[in-house]
Amino acid sequence: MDTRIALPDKTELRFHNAEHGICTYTIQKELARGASCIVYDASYINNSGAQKSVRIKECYPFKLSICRNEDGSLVPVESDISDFNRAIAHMQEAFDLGNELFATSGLTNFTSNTVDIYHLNHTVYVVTTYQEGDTLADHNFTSLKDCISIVKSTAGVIAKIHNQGYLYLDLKPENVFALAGTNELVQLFDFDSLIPFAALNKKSGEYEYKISYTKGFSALELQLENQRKLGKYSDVYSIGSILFYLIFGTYPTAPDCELEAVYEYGQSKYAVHSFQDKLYFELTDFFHNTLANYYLDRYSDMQQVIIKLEQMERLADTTVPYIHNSYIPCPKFLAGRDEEIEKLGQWFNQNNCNCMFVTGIGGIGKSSLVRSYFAAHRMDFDTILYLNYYHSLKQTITDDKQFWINTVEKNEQEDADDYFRRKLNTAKKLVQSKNTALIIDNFCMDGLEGIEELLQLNWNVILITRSNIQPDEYDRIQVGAVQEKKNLYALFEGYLRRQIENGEYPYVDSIIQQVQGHTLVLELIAKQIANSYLSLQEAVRLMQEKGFLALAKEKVSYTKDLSVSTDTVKNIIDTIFTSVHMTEYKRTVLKAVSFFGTPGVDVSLFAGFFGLDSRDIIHELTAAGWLTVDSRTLVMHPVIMETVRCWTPTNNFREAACHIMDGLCKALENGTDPYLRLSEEFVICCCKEPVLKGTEICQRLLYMTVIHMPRHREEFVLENAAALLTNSGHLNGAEIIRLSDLITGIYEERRDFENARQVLEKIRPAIALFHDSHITGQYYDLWAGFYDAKLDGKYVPESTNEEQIFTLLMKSIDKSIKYMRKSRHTDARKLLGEYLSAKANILIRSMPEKKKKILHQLGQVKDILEKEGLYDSKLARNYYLACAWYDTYVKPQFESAVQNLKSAYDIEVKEGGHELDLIDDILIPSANIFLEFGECEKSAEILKHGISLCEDNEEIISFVRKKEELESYWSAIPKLL
Amino acid sequence: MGEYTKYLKNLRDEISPEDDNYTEELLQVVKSFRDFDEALDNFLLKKGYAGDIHDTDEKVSYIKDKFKEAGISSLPRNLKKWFAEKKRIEKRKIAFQFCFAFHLNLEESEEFFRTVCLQRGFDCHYVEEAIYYYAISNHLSYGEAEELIEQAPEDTKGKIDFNGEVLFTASIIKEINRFKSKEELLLFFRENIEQFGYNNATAYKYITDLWHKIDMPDGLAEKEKALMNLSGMQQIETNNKNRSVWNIYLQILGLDGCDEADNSPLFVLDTDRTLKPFLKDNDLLHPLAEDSFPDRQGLEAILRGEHKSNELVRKTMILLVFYEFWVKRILRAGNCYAQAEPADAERCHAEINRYLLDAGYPALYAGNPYDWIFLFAMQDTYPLETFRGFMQELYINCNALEK
Repeated sequence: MDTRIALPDKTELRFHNAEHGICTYTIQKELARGASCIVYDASYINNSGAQKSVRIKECYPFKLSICRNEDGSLVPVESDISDFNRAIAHMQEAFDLGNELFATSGLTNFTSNTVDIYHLNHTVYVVTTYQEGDTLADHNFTSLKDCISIVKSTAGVIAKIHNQGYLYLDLKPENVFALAGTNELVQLFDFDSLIPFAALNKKSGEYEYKISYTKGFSALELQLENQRKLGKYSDVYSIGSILFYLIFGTYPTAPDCELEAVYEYGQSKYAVHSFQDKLYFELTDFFHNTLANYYLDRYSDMQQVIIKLEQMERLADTTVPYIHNSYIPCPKFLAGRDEEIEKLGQWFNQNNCNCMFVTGIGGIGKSSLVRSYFAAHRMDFDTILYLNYYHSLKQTITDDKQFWINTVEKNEQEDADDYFRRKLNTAKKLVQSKNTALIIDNFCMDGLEGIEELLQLNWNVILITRSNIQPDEYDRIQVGAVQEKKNLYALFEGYLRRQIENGEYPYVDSIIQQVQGHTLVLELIAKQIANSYLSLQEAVRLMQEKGFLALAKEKVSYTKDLSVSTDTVKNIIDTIFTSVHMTEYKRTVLKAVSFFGTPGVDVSLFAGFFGLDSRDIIHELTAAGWLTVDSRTLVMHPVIMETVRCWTPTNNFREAACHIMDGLCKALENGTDPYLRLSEEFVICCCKEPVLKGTEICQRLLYMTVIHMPRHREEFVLENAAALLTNSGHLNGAEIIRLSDLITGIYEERRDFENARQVLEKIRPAIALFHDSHITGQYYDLWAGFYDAKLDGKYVPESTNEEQIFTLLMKSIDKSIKYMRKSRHTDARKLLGEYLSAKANILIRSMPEKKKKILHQLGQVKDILEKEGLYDSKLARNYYLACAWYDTYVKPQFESAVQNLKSAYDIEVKEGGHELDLIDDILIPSANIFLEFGECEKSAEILKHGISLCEDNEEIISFVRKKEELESYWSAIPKLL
Repeated sequence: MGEYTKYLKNLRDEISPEDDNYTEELLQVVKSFRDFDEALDNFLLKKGYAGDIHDTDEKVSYIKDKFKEAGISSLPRNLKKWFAEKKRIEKRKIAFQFCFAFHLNLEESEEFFRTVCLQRGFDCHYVEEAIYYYAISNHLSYGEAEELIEQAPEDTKGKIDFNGEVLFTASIIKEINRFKSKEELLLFFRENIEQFGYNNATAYKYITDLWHKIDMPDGLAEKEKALMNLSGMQQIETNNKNRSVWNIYLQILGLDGCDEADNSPLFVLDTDRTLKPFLKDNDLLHPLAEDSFPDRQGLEAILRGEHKSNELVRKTMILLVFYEFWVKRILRAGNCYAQAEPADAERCHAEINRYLLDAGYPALYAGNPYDWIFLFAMQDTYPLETFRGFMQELYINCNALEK
């Protein structure tokens, strides 16, 4: 309870000065009370008769029991007399100290001008001149800059006090007087709390100073009254807390003083104003270095504080033009880009060229890479501008929403080029340091106009583009797929929102391979799998069936340019690879290229098939990043490819595709390499386009591709030959027979006789429609082949079933021979020879006793060979094989058999047939014949040769099957068991 | 620094978890804390007691005289037990009477609470203690203080609603310091009585904010767990974004470890998510440290804004600031095995003290057995590990006792 009694208003205080003169002051009113005094507003009449205002401080400690007599004098109780005298002495000392500081050069204007100290009423009165203004506790600042300026002035005064050998300690807004009309001058008027540095090292008993402080504005060591830890940094804390108070309207609390404290500038008094980002960084740094709880983490002296405040003062000046920094969000996930990040860093550190292109296909992570670099190195740059390319370089630069200089804007009448130049000139004046980075994302190489003026700013310019072609004089970082699997796994897991299980890695590998490690697509696939609750195995299967764009229908979230949206993967990818501004011709070319698949197509071949007038279009599309040319091969990234393939086909494209297919058909007639692969890729894509699928040329190319496909591509043949047979309108009889032969051959190989039979039954009506004995003969030959395979070498039937099959086999052969004899087709004789040869073979094994009949068959074949001159043909090979069998079973003669086998082998090698044919038609019969003659070793040797041929192709399933078959023969050879 | 505090400081500097006789050393520490009678003897001597310090009757008589001189008629009934049975002052009112009886000023009163009673000083969120604060700072007698208490409205213990207007302790003190008369003080109580009754508003806010930083989905606990997994220290599912308070609490204390072989918990607590059974009567833990040891129930109650004891709130805040400080360093270094930097111990000490002072609690004191644990841990090269090692030692010691 404050029981002190203030002097009544209008009380006259008649003081005696040093020369025994009298100075009279009149109390006007009580102004304030402190712990040791009461402060009054007072006045005196000067020699001109004018009333002048002053302030008077009366020593009257609150804690002591002191009575005021009617005459105004103060009388302490007995026990408080000595304390009162000490308080008077302390005020005297503070007055002397104030005077000393006032007289100190540089401090005069910063300390209140004490007129004099007078003794009266058994106490002392300090008179100071009246100044207009108020304390920082009551002052309202209109700008952040003013706050910083006033705190800088305060720090300046404290620095001078430090220089005089004192710590101020109880520094708080209430103790700092801001003079009206200026932020450059503050006055300190309370010197009670000052203690000399010399006192700090004294032991507590010797210590004559009482440490005073105010909790909200005092450093921790001061609050703990840890005298030995007091220092200049204790006042540094107070300076920091005053600025904090002026900005946030409250003093700092414990969380604000943590080492990595974060400040909510959005909650500050000046949140509505815009400042340079750098100011916020500097403010945070300032608070970290002034408010730190650990005293050695603060600025060690006031000079450092002042330097920092000066920097911030400049940054807070909104009348000075400045470039508004761009906000660059840090990507959520970036891994496997260490090398590129290092390259960027090196470029900044030692760049001779101030322009860098960051290139790569869309979604590969170019922007994320650059954003991540700047998020991590934000503080290394004074200014960072991150712009999105808009129509042209000039339009991008002159877009004031993206590139904002606070005092510059386009005049309505101003020409765009003029504004471009004016803006760059202003920017140049504002920022000349190399520590400025300008990033233009989605840069288009068409818009290079103005680049030279831009580079003259001497800023570091980074252009992020999909374009593959840049001027040689600029540096470049090519961003490809992330190489290290572990990084891709981590990325995938991150978006999958779970860990990849041990058994799932092969599926993830498959996905990675299919999209060539494209980061965005991997992200979207992982999200799609998570959102659609797919297993990784299902996902891989669906990707292979439908492509990743149609993996599932559920939408996924996607962040682009700071906004998060949800959409289907297809739509997201479409947005990235938009073709809105592309000519139809370019779209047609791109779609055509996309149909040639991942390995790409030779530029010249493409130009020829497409009928390009000029290859400029290739250059343009390459420059725009849609295509790359790798050793003359046009290559398209699988992600772009899948996107482009989904573009709706136009009439122009339809025509172009038909033209290409026609070219491919013709090319295939002259040889398969490299046309077979190109045809396969192209025709499969065409078959997925409804407008192309039913066309004759499409069916033709598919037929050509199927019949030229190597034997081991069974699945492709089965799938597409069956499709062709289902819609056989464009096929002639020979083509139907050819396709059926391919299909049944594969089914028979697999011992899948039911499917083989169904195929033969299915084509029967179509065959009948041709009324052509050449076709019919071949058709029955297919049946003969079917029964032969079904009989599986059992030419001496042992069961009724086998007998039935044998009978059907013989009937089929006879029918095929019968119809082929009627045919006048050019190859009818050759085919007849083959059928006769086949019949001879069967007779040799099933009825060797019918020697005459057998020789009759063989004689007819020989006759055909001689008349048709087919000595090196397959027919001749089969003839020699039949003779070899004759030499084995009908009239055993080893040398003759070996000679015939050799003739057959020579023809096969000369013909250069498929290895599986060599095994089936030569090696297996040879091994069999040798075995029949008891030549087990030779037989085994031949089978081993066949096995080794299979082992060379063990990745192909048909060779695996054949190897198993050969091994079963080999293991059946008696001598080797 | 007193000799006693120096001794305890030396103890913490000399002991290392690597020592072969670590457990014995900890037992020695527990025995080293002075009892209340010793602390009180020390206080009496400082305050001018000139009699025989070993004579309990004389000391009791001296204290009684001081109480009578100060006009305190209701003498504490168990005065003798303070010395004979080393019982502590349990009622805060008696501690305040001590302050009046021995004419302690504000600073001395705070010191008395901190070093003798091992409690927080004035809790101005209670009308009674706010009046004691006002009385002592204005040199009023105990009788005057009691008169004021009679006139003031009564507060009732309630819940803090941080969504409403909260008057923090610092603001109350600021107001009280401003008053020039008893009437002003009483008027303030009457006008703001709804702001009294809940205490620790600052501390509750700090604890709530700290916990939020720790337990949010991408918070410190989750990040530390991820780092542990990365370092191979642990292999625990980290995708569970909604971890329980208990789960995180065990992580902070280092009691969430699992057996590498079968992922079974290393520390089996056969209780309803409480540590109490293994802390109780544990030789390695001083009873004063065991008292109100931070637990899940207490933390959850604080987070709900429910009234809890000063002791629990203070201890919880120390634990959380300690954890936040060190886990941030570990995360910044990206290494669970990161060593503390030379000045980090002082930084941590300063940070905890800052939180405590802000919330109106006494600073860390080596003579407080609970505080000592943290002061001991922070001086180690691996402070968080050392603290967790200590907790694990408590667990092992408890189990050893059971066997």
